[in-house]
Amino acid sequence: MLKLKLARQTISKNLQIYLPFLLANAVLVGINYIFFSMTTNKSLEKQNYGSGLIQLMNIGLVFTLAITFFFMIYINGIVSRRRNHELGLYSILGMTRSDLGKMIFFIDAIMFAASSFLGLVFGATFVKFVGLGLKKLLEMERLNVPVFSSVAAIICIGYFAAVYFILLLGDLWRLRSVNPLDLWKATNRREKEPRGSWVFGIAGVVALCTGYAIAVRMKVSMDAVTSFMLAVVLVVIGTYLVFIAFSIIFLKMLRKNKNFYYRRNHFISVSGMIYRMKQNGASLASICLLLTTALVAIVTTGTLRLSQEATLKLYNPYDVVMTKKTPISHSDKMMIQSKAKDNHVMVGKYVNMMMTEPIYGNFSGSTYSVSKTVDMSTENQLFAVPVADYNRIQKQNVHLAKNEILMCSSKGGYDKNRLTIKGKTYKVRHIDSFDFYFDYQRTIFKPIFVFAKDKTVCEQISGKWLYAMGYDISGKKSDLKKYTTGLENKFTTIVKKKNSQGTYMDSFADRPSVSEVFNQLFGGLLFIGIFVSIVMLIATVVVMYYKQVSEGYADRDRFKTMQQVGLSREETKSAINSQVLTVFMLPIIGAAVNVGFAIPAIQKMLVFLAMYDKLLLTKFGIVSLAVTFLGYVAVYKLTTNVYENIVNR
Amino acid sequence: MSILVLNHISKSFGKGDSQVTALRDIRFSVEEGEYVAIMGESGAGKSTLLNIIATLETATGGQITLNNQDLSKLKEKEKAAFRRQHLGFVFQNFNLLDTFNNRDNIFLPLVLNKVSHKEMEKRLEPLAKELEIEQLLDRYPYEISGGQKQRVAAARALITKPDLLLADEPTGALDSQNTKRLLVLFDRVNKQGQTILMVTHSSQAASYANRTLFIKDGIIYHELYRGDMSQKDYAKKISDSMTVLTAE
Repeated sequence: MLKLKLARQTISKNLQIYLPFLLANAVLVGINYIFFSMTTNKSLEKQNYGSGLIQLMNIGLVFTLAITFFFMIYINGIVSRRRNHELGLYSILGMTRSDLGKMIFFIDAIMFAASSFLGLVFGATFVKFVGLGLKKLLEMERLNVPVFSSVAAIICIGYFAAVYFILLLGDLWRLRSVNPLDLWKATNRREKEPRGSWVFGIAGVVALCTGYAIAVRMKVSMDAVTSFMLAVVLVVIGTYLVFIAFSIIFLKMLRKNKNFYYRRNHFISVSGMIYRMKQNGASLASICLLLTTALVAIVTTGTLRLSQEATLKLYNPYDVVMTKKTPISHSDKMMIQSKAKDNHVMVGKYVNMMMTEPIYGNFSGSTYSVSKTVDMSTENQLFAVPVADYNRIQKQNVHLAKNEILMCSSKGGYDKNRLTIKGKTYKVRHIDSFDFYFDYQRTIFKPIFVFAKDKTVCEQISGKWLYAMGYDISGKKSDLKKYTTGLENKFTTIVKKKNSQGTYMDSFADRPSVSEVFNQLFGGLLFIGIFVSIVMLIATVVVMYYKQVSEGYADRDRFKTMQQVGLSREETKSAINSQVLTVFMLPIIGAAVNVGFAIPAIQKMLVFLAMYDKLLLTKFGIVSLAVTFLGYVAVYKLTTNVYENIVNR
Repeated sequence: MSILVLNHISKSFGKGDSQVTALRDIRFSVEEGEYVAIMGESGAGKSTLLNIIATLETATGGQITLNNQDLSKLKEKEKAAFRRQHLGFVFQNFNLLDTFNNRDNIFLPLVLNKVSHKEMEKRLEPLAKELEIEQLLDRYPYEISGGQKQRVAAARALITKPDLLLADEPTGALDSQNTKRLLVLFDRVNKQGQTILMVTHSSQAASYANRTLFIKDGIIYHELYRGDMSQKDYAKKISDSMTVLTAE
């Protein structure tokens, strides 16, 4: 069949254009296959928090599918434009439009078949590996991930078939409205991009700055998520407008300055850059946003995972922590021991503490002002504990006067040496650590522990008392789980008291359960974060490759002309290289700036998940940025080889 | 005074069995103020010869002197400097840069020579008037027609006041009206003292020159001087020579 043969030839003669598309496509098929395998995995569903995790994964999957879709439309656009030249030739030689249509159908079919096959092979090869990673990340022992899941394969292939169908329709539509001579010339036709408009340029800068301002000045509140979304929209719009319009305005301003412009190096680079930004503004903005999203995903989910231990310690400084409104009784302790015996669990030493119920409020100046209504603007929960308990637990021997207190707060909590609570002023001595420092009821409020001379002073600070007890346990993992679940059931049964209802124990938290939730929540989020980032990064690499190819073809002719007009080969090379370098560095620099402003916003959102460690977030952010930058430069150097081959041909 | 001297210039491409000899033994010189046309069949080596004179290619053998400078002794960087200081080019395909507007395209060689922008604008004014491109200066090459592009290219070539203006099939992509316009322009600047060397395969174009060289089989086969002939007679003579040249 002639058309099939021509289709195959078109592909094999233009591998430089088709191969990257094919490979990227295959990788996307593979990744989506792996994702689908996870979300349709029966053994995952059966896990404790399995269905919640699957829901989270589905969100990530939708995101990935959307990116895949837009990416394929974009790349297919580039590929079809390059193909027009050959199609024009065939048309002039006598092939009808329907013949051309059939040829395009065959090309698309071959690409679809090849990428699906490769993709499934790739996916099946790595799915076990990913399954193992997930098992470890989430600490799910009974997770079974089969190599081949027919359900996942069918859904995945089905999705790509639908995408290819849409691509085909697009290609056929483009074919209808064009005549052969246009097709022939189309490859040489320059894209007339919109001129840099002052309105759009300034609007872009304004949008970007506003988005940044919102991100930085966001407060922890119910509106935080909406603020963040608004900031994201503004930054996206701002990034596009800055790359597309503002850059050109800026360069044109440089051009207007004749003393600056008519100098040899400036002359060539400014006018070259104006042209390149006109051609590439939108793609560069897209690369910038892809990088930004990948970085934000990794930094957020990575930091959460890294801070997991710290948060766990915050909830459970001991393996089991419970509080009661009355002192822990002998029968409570008997219950603890007997359940332990039943489950072959060893119980460690009890640590007891009496503490006042928390008073919620904020620091303003050197006063702790108690919140009348506890809402999202409240930051802290403050407990008063007699210093005797502190001395006992920490094996210290501190004596305090009536107006002296010790304070243990989270990092960067309060650093003054005087504090006024409810009208009374105390001298404050700060202490770095306290073994029983914990987040009562696992709220988002930062715990502040204040140690006072005796019960009377404590009662000055806050009225009612709580009795807290913590202890460690050891044994087999499954036994520990059974023990704590059983104990929790007993201690958190609903009890009717005089005029109210509450649980028997005021609060109960055990490491095995909490750590399981954390593993699945944070581990799951990290999994999704990694996957989404990989998709973004693949898209970035492929777009960069195609940009190098198109810049290569455009620059090839420029090189020749510039040499003819009187630039040496070295000078031409360095002039053009500096422009290409600038063009490619802009997106990563933009991404770095975007991420820099995103970090304060991310930090405030993470407070919801009790992640207070700003330093960790910043450090991890910088490391991720550095790694991404190095990777980006490496990809740039690799793709530059393609560029140089084209230019020197 | 000979501005250009070619001595036994030869050029071959490739090695061994696949070696192609484009030029075997080219000898001629061009005086200041001359207007020389080089003609020959396609593939006779005309463009190669022009490229060698333009320092864009290096001859395999022989010596070439331009303005008393031995071109073979120049290094690549020096050749580039030499090009922009002493030569002007007009190509068949215009070869304007799409990243510059027309004014900047014309300024380019001067900017490379570090001329001040006031001086550049001073030189452009009369040139733009003469070439009737004043309205086009702020536009871009892809926005104007072929004839206009060629005039812009001519301005670029002439603004440096080159010792030698080289033209490679300058009218090849133009219609008859624009062709006439360009040739009249060349004639005019030649009368003002500009030395021109033009490669062409159009007898009409060559008839504007006062000397025509014919290349065949890698050597100068034949030479014609216009002398006192009318342009029409000269054109016929050139055409006849071409017929003889291309006869088997």
